Amino acid sequence: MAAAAGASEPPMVEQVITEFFAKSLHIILESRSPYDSSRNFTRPSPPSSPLSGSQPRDRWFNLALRDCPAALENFDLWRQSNLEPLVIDIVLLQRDSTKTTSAGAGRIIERWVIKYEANRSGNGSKNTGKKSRSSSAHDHSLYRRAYSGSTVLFRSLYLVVRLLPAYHLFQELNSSGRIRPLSLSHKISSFVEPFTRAEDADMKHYAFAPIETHSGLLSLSVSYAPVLEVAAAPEPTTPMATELIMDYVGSPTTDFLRKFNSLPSDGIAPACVAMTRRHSWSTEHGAGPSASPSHMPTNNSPTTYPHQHSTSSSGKKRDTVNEECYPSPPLSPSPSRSPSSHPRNPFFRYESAPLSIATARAGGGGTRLPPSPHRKDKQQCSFQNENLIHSPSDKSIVTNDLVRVGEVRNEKSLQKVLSFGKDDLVYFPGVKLARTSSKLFIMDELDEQELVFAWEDKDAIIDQLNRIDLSDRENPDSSQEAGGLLTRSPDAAIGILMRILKSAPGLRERLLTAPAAPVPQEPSSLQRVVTEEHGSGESSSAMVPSALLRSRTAADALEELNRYKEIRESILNRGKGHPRDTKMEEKPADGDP
Amino acid sequence: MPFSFLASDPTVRRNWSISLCPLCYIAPANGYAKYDCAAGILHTVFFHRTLSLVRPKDVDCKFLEITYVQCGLPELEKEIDEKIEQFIAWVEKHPNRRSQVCLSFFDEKSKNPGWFVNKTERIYWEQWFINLHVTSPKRESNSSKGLTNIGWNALVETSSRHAALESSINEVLFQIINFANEKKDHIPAIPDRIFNHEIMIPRDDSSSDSVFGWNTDVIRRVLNSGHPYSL
Repeated sequence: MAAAAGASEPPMVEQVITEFFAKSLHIILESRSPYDSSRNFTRPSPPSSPLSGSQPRDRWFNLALRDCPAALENFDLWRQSNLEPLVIDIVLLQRDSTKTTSAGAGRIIERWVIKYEANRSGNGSKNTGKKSRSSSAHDHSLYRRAYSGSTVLFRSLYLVVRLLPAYHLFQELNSSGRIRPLSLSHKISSFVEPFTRAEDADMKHYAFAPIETHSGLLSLSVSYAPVLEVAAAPEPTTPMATELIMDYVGSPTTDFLRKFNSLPSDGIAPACVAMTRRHSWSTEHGAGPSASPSHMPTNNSPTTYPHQHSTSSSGKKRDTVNEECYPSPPLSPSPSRSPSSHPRNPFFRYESAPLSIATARAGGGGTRLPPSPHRKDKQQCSFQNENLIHSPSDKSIVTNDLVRVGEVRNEKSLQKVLSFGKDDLVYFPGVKLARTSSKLFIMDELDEQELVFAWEDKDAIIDQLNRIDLSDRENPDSSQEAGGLLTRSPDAAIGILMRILKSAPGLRERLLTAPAAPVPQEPSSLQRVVTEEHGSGESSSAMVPSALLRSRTAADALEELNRYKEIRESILNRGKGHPRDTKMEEKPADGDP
Repeated sequence: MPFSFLASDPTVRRNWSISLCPLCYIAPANGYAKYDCAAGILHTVFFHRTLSLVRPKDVDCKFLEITYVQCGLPELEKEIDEKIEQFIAWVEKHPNRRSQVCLSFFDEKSKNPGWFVNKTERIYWEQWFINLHVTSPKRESNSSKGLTNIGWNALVETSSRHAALESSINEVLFQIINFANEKKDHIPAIPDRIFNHEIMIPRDDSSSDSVFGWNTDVIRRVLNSGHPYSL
């Protein structure tokens, strides 16, 4: 039939028919075969093969396209079939683990069928009235009709191949050079392999208006899958960090992390868990921070502690904390579980910057403790926002970021440490909590001074923190002397203490120079001495606890402690009948009017 | 679709008036959407009616996931862009108003040529009426709902409108393809340049009905052309 149809057609129309098939194949394959696209073609392509006839193939039907090797190769093969139907199957292939694909497998997502159907009677029967005209004019008219009709059809074909769903997949595969699990392939045949009933039910059909020729009909149709079930998902460019940095946060099996699970925010760890920033503390070695005594700050000089390097960056981080704290509606705030089964809130920043106790400038009292971690996420964030009040350079900055907890070996001790209030947990602005073995190290990062205390009970820690607060309020500059105390290692602290003691004025001198003040006979002689010390502005009924509440530096506190020890010794010695101590004690009494 | 022809003689060129169905809602604040819609439609019509040599240029819409095709002719693209800008400006001045863009192809013929008078008349052989309706979204009242709820609802609504608009544009483009292929016998012989055409957009200085006032000009022109047709 095809041969007969070809013979009845005028040569010009027959050429149009041949080029119709070629152009269809070209347009379809160049937008379905990756790397053969003439997308955004702006320059004329070189003349094609001699088989195209007088005009270059790419300019046929006034639609200039770049050469498509796949189309050319396949068309040369098809041309030998002498105008048989041209069936182009676009196949979606899925690569297996070996990255091999086979043309036989895969799913047909589009089927294009181009065919020429000859009329036995031929369209010439309609034109019987025109047979009297010259055949050349008649042929020219038929040629013009077929050619202009094909021109419009190929405009439509060029657009339709870009409106169908497979084009998006083609764009995706063609745009990136990465190896993807999906690929597009094509299969060309001259017969239509019928779809199964299920496949046919899923397919949609679209047929272009046929082009009438002298003796037949050129038709082009497509069956396509309206929905591509397997979409080429873009490969992630960066791997997502789903694991904790074990040496930073510590073992995920620590009770501290379990403690977070009990929080009402769906078991999501609060924003205080530091996970991202590498910390210099190495609790595994059983030592404190890596600073050695040589790195002790003396005159508020910046420390060389490695974890201090991002002081400025932590400020920047603080600025961005606000933004990241509020959950965005489209995202499901379901925490991703790391292998350590520690839930993470994607909306919280997990930083390594420590928290610090609210100082006087922040308006916090000595007994100020962080808010309850049972707050909701937003409240926690707002708490963080409230306390971001100063620039990073300000020493009185209160950083509310996080509490870093070192590796905990003693579970009970850590629980005691952390359960300062019943529900107040780990939010200690300006204080880093790190625990090595059975000791808890409290570090004040803001002043770049660190306190090392070995406490094992909660009350002692609270007292120490209160003293810090008091000393900071009263004498922030006197921390210089206390630099010796603000070290990590106990040995360094002792060394500094010795230095202070050596340089401190003698106890007698202080007592002699102290202003005489009437001291009522209080039940405790210790109280009298304390009253002498603070007689300038304090009332006689000033009790020891009120004195302790005043802002003091750690050095002052230690000094006072030492004095108390000496006084204690003196009292004890007095009881044993030391005349010297008795004189010292009675002197103020003699001074009474 | 309201189109028809009067003459039965196949030699008489038939004038086709093709009216495309109205588009769905386009967010007035979304300039990209308005541009994508107008540009996609106009370029598609021109691509089907520019039968001279073209080097097609694929254009991915900025707002919609649709790829349309341009002819690759700089002058034509510039003209279309200017018209689209004017149209968008008019739409922004007249929100919630129905608008129509008319794309006409014609032949110029000398009328009553004389010694001193040389009048030309336009013979329209095809006209495309593209109806657009740009409406404002109904803003949700600021209830006691949290900010996240309003944002989420707005996002869902925007996504559904986006999908509806995309589907509508896709449908319109297929309509253009169907019309352009079904009726092509009336197309003049393929020239070596673009067919004579004009793009008419609503004007502010139109008659009583500012949206459709220019239609009277079109009808007057058609009546004078001697090829009556009816919608």
